[in-house]
Amino acid sequence: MPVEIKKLTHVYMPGTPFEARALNEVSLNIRDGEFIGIIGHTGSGKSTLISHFNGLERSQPGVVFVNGVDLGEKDTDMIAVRRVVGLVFQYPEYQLFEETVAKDIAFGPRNLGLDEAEIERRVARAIELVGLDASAAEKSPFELSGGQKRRVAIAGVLAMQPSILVLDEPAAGLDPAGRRDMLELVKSIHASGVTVVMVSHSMDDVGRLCDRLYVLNKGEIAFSGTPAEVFVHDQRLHEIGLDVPECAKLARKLREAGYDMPEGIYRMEDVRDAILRNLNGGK
Amino acid sequence: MNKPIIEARNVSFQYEGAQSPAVNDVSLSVAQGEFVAVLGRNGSGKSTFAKLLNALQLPTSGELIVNGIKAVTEDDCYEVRKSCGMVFQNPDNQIVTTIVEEDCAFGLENLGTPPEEIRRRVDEALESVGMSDYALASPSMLSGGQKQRIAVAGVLAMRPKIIVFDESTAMLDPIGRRDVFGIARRLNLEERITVVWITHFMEEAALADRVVVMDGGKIALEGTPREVFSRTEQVLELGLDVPEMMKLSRQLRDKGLSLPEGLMTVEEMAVELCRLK
Amino acid sequence: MLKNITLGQYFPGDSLIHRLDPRTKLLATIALIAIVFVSKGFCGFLLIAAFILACAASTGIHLKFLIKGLKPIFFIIVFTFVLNLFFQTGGEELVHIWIIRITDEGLRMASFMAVRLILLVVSSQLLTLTTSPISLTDGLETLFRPLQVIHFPAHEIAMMMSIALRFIPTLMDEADKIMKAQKARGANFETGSVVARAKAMVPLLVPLFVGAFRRAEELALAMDARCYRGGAGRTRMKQLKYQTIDLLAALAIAALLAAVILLNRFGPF
Repeated sequence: MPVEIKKLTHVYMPGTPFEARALNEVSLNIRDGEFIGIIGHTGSGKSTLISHFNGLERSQPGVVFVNGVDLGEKDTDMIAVRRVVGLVFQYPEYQLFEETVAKDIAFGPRNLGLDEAEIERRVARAIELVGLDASAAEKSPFELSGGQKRRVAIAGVLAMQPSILVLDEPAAGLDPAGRRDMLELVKSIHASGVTVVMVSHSMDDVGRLCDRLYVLNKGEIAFSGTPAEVFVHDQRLHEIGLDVPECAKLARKLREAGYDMPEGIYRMEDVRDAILRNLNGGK
Repeated sequence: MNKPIIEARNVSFQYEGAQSPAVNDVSLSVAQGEFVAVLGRNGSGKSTFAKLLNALQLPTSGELIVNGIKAVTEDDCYEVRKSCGMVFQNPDNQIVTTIVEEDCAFGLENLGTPPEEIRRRVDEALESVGMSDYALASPSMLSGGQKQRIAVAGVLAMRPKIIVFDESTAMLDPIGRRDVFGIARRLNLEERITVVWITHFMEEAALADRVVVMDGGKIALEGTPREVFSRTEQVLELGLDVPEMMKLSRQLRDKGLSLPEGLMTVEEMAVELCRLK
Repeated sequence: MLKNITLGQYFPGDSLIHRLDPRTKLLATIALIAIVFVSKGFCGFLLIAAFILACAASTGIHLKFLIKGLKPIFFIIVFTFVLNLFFQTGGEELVHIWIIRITDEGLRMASFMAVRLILLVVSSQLLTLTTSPISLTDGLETLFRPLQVIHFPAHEIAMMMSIALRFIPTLMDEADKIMKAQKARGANFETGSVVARAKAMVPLLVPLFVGAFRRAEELALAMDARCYRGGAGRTRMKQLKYQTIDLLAALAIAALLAAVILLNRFGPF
């Protein structure tokens, strides 16, 4: 089991007037090769949750396990954990600092203590993987466009060759074409054999891409399961300020109007076919 | 049609040292009280166009008249900014002071408004965006959506005729986005404030009176949301998206259903499909 | 983490002293500092200490806050005390071990200096504890406004201070985020030699500075968009106004000064 979390509770500044409970008894499992979506608002605790995946936030022993290693134990080698779990934060382009793209991407591998030849190989591969032109390697990251900068930042994490990649809102702030390209990139990273966890606000995006979803609300897991299982709760989701995909909304409306629509249906193709079945008498 | 409050005739603007103009020969007329959404991929010139409207930049050629003023001198620029407010993208980088109500007062203080008048208008503006309870709060304790509402209040206190929102919802979560868009729409309908709404979110554009799509500094498409989004291929080519229902209705039409063109919302779609059943 | 650092240790409240005009508090603090220097004996100090404690008590601020504020300068107080103790050689000898000689005059001088230092710090602390940074800035701007005649940039300085105050939490937040992001890439900020640690700060500081410049540019644009054109012709929503309590405060300070002067002359010690 790559990531296993058992009843994780996290309180910020305990014992002060600023005490805040960010997470309350959150449990989750992520299996090898899965594409997991985590959905929730600002302040739902999702940033705190993903910070636990690679030990940036520490828990008590016996709560957070990565590949069987207990991250709560004092003597756990954190660098080894960060080699396994790559974390791409929101707006990661703001963490770039080196003179050239190649040097910036090399930062992670260098911290892992790899030799120069290996670093060079990994940088070249990461640049290719995120779809940047090889000529970008010697440019300053600050000359690139916003979308390209973000790709450099993702390449910097991929160069550590994590087996689990966590991305917090990878498409935030991009234009529609940029969003599409970014989600394609995440999809291709997953297809290359990496376990992916994507934090997102967009039910459309997670519905299209993810195998399973966890919906966080006020530090607790409100719903979990396959997208279809989660989208069944459309009204509860709406109450906590999250929308189901448009097609799922249409399916509900049609069901209420006497159409025969399967529960939890949300993909456009499925909704289209269900409508056609209803109108053409099952043809 | 009301008389135009924004009148752009062949407006171009080129940044110093740039290869090509950021805004290229744009002609556009916006009526008083209109809600116009401006779309376009990154680098299409929409943000530059917004800065021209607020006289933060002046056109290199062409004529731009905002609320009857053609900005030439520095004083003209301040007159334009008084009547055309602007809300920016990053909620953190447009709040000036450490207390919410003082930030709302900032614009009026700059205009030299008497203190009692500032007080009254600030209270009104905060009320209008639903942030009265936070008048004495520190902005750093607020969520992104709340910060943007403060930014709207700060502009509103100056009683502008036009508000330009430059991707003001891009960094917000769905609740914040809904709140800020809702406020803009309400101000437009109730206070007759003209809104220029720059966005990447198609579902917001779908609710505008008119959509203008920019590409390469020029206006590439223009019309009601229905007209614009009906041209699905062209819209996608311009790096944008169309509402999901538009895509679905196209697919259903391809399968032989007789649905009308231009269905955009779930409600419209449901009504039409129920009619077919 | 970085967020926990509180700046300008303001202690919110609604006491009489909290409600004083910031200008009054600024001037009163300066006056109080002067009075501390005027006092020539412990008798005066005792009175001043009683005055300060009474003020602190009326604000509801716990004594431990005042004591906590002395911690950073604890070393300086001890240093001043020891220095005066050993090098003031006049007066009667109390202790003499090897080359160390302590006289009664030395002991008196050392205690006098230490108490004076403590009183100075505590009185200025009372100001920062009861006045929010922003009204302190406002007070300073108004006090220095007459100096604009000689082109002293009172408004600009006040504006810079208030923007700095506004952005400190934002930048702290950002520093925290960048630090986490770099740690996720295996960066190590905690261990290693001094040189190694200084080098490890580069991946934090470069993005932080780049970000700060970006923010500054955007903020300047946003200020322009709201018709900011410097201090000339600007009004303020909140006008500072002297009230009766300000007069009372002034009288209290004057009375304290008079008492200290009298104690200097007639005080028993």
